[in-house]
Amino acid sequence: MDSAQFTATPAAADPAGPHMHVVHLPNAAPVRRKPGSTGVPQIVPQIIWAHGWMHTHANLLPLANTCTHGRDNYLLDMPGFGRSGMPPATWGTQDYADHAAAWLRTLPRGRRIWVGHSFGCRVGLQLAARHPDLLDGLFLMAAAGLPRRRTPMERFTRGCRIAAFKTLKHLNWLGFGAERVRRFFGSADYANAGALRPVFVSVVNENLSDVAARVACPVHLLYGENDTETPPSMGQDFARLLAHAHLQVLPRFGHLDILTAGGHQAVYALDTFCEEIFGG
Amino acid sequence: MSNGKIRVAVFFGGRSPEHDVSIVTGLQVIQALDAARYEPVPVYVDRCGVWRTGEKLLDRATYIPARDADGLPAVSLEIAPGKGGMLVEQTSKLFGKPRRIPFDVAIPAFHGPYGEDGDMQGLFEAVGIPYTGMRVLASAIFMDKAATKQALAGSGIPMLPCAVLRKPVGGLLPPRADIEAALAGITLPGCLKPAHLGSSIGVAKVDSIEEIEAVLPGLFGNDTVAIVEPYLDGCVEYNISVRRDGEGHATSAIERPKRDSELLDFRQKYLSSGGKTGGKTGGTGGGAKSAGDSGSAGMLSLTREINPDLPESLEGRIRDFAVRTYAAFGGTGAPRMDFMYDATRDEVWLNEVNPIPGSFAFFLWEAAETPVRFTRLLSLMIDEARAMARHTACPDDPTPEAARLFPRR
Repeated sequence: MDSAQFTATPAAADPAGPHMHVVHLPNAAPVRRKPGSTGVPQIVPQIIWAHGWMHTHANLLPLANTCTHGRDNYLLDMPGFGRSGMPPATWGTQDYADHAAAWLRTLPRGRRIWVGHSFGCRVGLQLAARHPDLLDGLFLMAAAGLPRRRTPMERFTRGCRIAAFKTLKHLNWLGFGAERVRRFFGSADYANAGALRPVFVSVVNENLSDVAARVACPVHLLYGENDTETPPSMGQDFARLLAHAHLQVLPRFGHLDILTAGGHQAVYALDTFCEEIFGG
Repeated sequence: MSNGKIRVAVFFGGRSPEHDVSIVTGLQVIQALDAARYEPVPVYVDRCGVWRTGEKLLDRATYIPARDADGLPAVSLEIAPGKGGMLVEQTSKLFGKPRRIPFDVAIPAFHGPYGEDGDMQGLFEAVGIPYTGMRVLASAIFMDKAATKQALAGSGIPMLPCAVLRKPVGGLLPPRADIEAALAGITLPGCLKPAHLGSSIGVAKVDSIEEIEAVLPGLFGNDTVAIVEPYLDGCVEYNISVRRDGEGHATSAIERPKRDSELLDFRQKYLSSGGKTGGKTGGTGGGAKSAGDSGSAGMLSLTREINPDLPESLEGRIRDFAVRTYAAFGGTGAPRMDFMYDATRDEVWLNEVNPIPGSFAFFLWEAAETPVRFTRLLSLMIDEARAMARHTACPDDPTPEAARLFPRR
């Protein structure tokens, strides 16, 4: 599949932007023409795959590999990940969305679905809200972007943790290194974000409620029942905010294995959604 | 049904040399079942034949590395027909009744004896439980390579001749005279195979009767019948799956298993690592019966080529022979047919039929001309199982009036 890779820089719209590595899995089925048509073949429907935080296109490749029948697949390495360049500043998801939009405008405009996982869903929601002409549907797996529902006890524990973090951060003279404190109190993604840490902080603090409310295209929300990063309750909240959303919860799967062990059901749901959007 | 969902009992493991492979297939099936329609009930048959159930079975760590599922409750099948499937917990509680676990459909995900060969299918048939896959007769015949050749003789489906060697009642090696008599008409070198096992277990090239005598005791540790076929040097293997499609049949993509050595053995097939990804179109999980992998990027994808370029006439013959084999005994389910092809003679032979192929051969269906997802394939098989059960349902009083000797109330 590596032969189909290419690097795209949306120069026209964003000459200063980082290059974005894209893997293209072309349609593997014969292209159908409209009945009676002898001219240019129809543009094959497109699926754009956007990975989660600290992932690359490779995490979605096994799923995309099974979706080449009658569809063109494009798998992105988001700026800062995989073989793409670093974002030039502390980007938020709207910047990622604008960057992806500039690249999408270079593609022929066929019917198009954005498939995201976790962070890739945040970008997809921004894209659908900010550039509604570019997408026909969102298929979001373990979508992040809303505040988590917390019990009073969880809120209390979290408050204590934040207070302890802020206190210890200012007590360097006691021997607590700031980085050690951050690593101890921060999430694994935060600890491992490296140069992308400012971007991470910017992204995780976003509340996409207003963005979701502006999304007009159909959205399929897929969550793993045992997901502790983006629990199904977040999907319920998204479903309430989105104009045309369907929520599906897969029993027994979590935030990551929804892409692997849960992959069979995920692509089956994607097929159904594609039929709805692309028709037939 | 509960919550409007069909309860599907997935049976796997079993008293077979392919026990471990069956665990992988069983868990893949559970993961792929359409959660919107089905509620899976895992039923693990351990190496001793004890049936167990419980949520813990859904975790692969239960089986790796050989951590027994002993702590899970043993269950048995209630065999009163007409009530659907009912598993009953085998506990000796002082108070309270044993837990009863109903189910609507059974999916046998066994490989090899005691599960793929008609045994389990017969049990489900007797109790009246809808089950997926081939029926009793087809399972029994196709799981016996010698019986398959006999049953399909004269059908026009080409098969290699074979000698049949049976495990003696006492011991593991038949007398030399019996081996020589059985081998009449077969020229060595030959290919010695267990008659009932798949996954290439126990397959060996034999050049002489002495070699046969050396290999047989080990083979008869796992099987009771062996066959010897002429050894075909340089042959290529092609596999394909078949299923019902309305009133007709549908065939899957064709795969060509890759091979490094003379014969594909079990370890190469399931435990190899590294190498290239083959094929024009892959599958969600690559298929496989990989022992330790989570199901994604299964290792079988490393050892096969999906949709290889084939001459049209060869592809046509393979598809035709596969459909005719499938239909010979009222085909149901989605078995995999394995063929051998000799390019120099342009001849193709049916090698064996797998009534329950590893991973249900979903990767072949996902790469078919009209792709069928694993989740969809399972739904189709369950629909077929329920239709078959309705079709063959026994009336309340099976004795026709003319045959009744005793008055009915």
